[in-house]
Amino acid sequence: MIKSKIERQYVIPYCSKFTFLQTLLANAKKCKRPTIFKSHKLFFIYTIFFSLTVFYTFGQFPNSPKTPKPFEFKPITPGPNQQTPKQPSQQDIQNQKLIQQSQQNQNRQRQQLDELYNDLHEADRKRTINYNFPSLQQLPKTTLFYKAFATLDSMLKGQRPLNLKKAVYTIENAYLDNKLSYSKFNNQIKYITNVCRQKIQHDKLDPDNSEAVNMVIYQVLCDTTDIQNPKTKVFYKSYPYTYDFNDFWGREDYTKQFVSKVLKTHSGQCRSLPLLYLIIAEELKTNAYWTFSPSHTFIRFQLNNGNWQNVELTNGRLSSDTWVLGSGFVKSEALTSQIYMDTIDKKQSIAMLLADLSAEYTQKVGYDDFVLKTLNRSLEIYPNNIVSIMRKADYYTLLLKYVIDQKGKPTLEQLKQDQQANNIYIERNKMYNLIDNSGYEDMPKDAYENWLKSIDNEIQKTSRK
Amino acid sequence: MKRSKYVILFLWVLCFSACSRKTAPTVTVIAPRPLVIEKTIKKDTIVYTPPTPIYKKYEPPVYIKPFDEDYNNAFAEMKEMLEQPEKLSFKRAVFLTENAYLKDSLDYPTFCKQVSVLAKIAKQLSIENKLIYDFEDKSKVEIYAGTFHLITQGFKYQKDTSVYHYQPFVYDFIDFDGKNDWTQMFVTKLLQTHSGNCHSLPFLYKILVEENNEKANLALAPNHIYIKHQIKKGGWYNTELTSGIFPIDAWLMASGYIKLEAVQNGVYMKALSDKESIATCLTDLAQGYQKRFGTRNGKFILQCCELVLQNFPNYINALLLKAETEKFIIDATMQKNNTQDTKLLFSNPKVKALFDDMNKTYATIHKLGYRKMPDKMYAEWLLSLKTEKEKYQNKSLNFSNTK
Repeated sequence: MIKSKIERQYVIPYCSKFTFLQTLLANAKKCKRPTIFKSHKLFFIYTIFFSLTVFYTFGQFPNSPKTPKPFEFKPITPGPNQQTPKQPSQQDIQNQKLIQQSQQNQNRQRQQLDELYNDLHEADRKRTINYNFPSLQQLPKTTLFYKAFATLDSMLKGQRPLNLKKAVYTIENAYLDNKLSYSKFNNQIKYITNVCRQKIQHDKLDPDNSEAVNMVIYQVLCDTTDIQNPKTKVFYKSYPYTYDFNDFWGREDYTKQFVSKVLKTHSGQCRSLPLLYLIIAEELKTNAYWTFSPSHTFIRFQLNNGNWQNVELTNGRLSSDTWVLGSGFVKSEALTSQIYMDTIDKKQSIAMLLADLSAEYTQKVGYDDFVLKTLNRSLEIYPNNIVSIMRKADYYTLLLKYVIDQKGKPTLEQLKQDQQANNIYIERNKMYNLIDNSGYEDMPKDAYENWLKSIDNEIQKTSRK
Repeated sequence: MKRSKYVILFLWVLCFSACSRKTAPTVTVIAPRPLVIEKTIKKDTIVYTPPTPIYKKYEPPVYIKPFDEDYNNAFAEMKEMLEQPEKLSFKRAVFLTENAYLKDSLDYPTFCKQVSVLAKIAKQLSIENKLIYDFEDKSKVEIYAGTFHLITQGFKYQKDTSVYHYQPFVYDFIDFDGKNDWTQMFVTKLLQTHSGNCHSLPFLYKILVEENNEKANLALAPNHIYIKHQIKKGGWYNTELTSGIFPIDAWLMASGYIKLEAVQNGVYMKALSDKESIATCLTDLAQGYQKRFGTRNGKFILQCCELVLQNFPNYINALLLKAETEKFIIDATMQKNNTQDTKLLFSNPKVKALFDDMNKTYATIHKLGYRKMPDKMYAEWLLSLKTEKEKYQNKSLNFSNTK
């Protein structure tokens, strides 16, 4: 008997932890069913017990979604528990009457107010359309602008001598709220002119020879200068002024176009660097001229043999007309109408500065009569200035928009019936026609940058040949 | 096990074969229009039909006419055109110039008929090409595009079962400046042979555009003429018919022989007005006279040049012709009197006046910024537009959706 028990026990193979199931399955065939149950009785009891606990104690029991059924409305039947409306008492009736009366009063008042407003608006519309921008003269920041205009106007009229340095200082100071110090500005320019004078002496050049002096200014501005006066033993040093590619059109920071910025940071752009050159040429009493090309300005001076030489200060090279015309944005009509490549003298340069003053005003203050006054005065002296013409076109465009908005967006025929508005419309179109017929072409920023850098490529090409 | 493998395989096969293949949806193909011609006809049957010649029917002369009668008549008619603007016709002026050289053998009605047929075709081409252009002057630009297409690409048409290709008008590199044969410059020669030069191609273009009642302006460059148009989109733009490209002004200025002063003075690259276009024809008349008869006493040529310079003061070809003729006359007088002594010669006030005028003209030419361009440089410059197309092409003009 015992033997059979022991035998039975050892018949069942040993099952380790990991091979438990495998051996269970494998041996299921070999072992008979009851033996399994017997040997692993405890196992089965435990599994059943645990599975029951898991199934009944574990919270998330996935419920299958039930199909939605339509909501069934229960019919309402009046019964003894339902509330019935009470009979209105006298006080209630009175209250309602009062409410009605007050509502009627309110309506009547509202109607009267509406009619009143309508009358007022009609009268407004008929009488008080502003055909000019409201004047901003009362703002304190405009006083400097008016003073600047007076200064430049007196120069143009001949009441004062033409002085580019003073003109440039005045217009920049107006924008910078009188925070620019004239003595500092003057001293910085005087230092550069001293360097130039020392270089002229050092190189033994003729200070009356325009070509020599211009070349010296070009070298001082675009190349390192380090000379010592043999008598006074003072050193004069100057480093080249570079082109600031960051926001070179001054769209984000308007002061990037200023000469004061060049003097402060030693880098400028295509308007400020030539202006600095012109100021220094004025100080050294030599002739240099300002010239315009698409989105660009540069310097021209006359050589001894009478030919003109272009100076490109942005990349420190002496450039040719072919390079400028090769930018691809100069049309022959622009050359015949002389909006580009036309050397302008000092009076016209100051007229150009007036146009810049108007641009500063619009930037700093806004649009009003002062802008038009400045632009008209500038165009009297320098009528071929495409920049002034474009700014005037902008002025009339905005003025027309202002009038249209006030009139409540009329049609073109309605606008033409109003004579003053029609005049503004005609003026605006006149400006547009001027621009179209002048051969002006807009130069995008990428094309401009590529063209500025192209001079280096051209020089490399020729040097390779 | 093997059996089960086969069973499994059989099941897989069943599974894949059950996937039905999607067939492409059937599209009803519209039968192509008869003008889709390449498939029906072989290439060697494309025929070029030559146009009918423009010559008049020969009639024996009634009287012996003076040698320069044709030229005098042409001059008189062109002078009338310049004085009375309502009679101004560029087509007639061009015809007069060529007819005078060809001894009055051309027939004006035939010429007009050919031009009007071509103009109608140009208009039809413009409609079929479907221009992408959304501004007010669309009809004008369509005619420009149609004429341009006709001249630079020609067109194909079908008659019965044959296909005809009206050849484009191309640039003739042989004798492009008419030194050996002056008729190379003629529009009639261009119409007959479909090859011309930078003088006749723009002239034909202008004639065709004006036939459709639109404007086209000629513009000058060294030894060269091209077309200028003004449109709402982009303003003034250039059309170069010799290469079929729209160059920007930078290409012209890069030729190296157009100085800034020349452009500023309106010598080159200016859009010529109607009177100025007739003035160019008048100069061609004078040059044709010179080719046919020589300068002779220079009277006719100087007469032409003076009338031209009244209407177009800075026309460089007229100034050059005038200066050269005056020089020729002075040389001839010197030879005739068999003397090299200028004092004796200038004692004659007429000769002195002529000499002073010649010097003044040469000075004007130099001041205007003219510099003579060698032939080789000219050919290279014309070629540079094709080789450097990327740099010099006007990129804002890309209206067509067809290639």
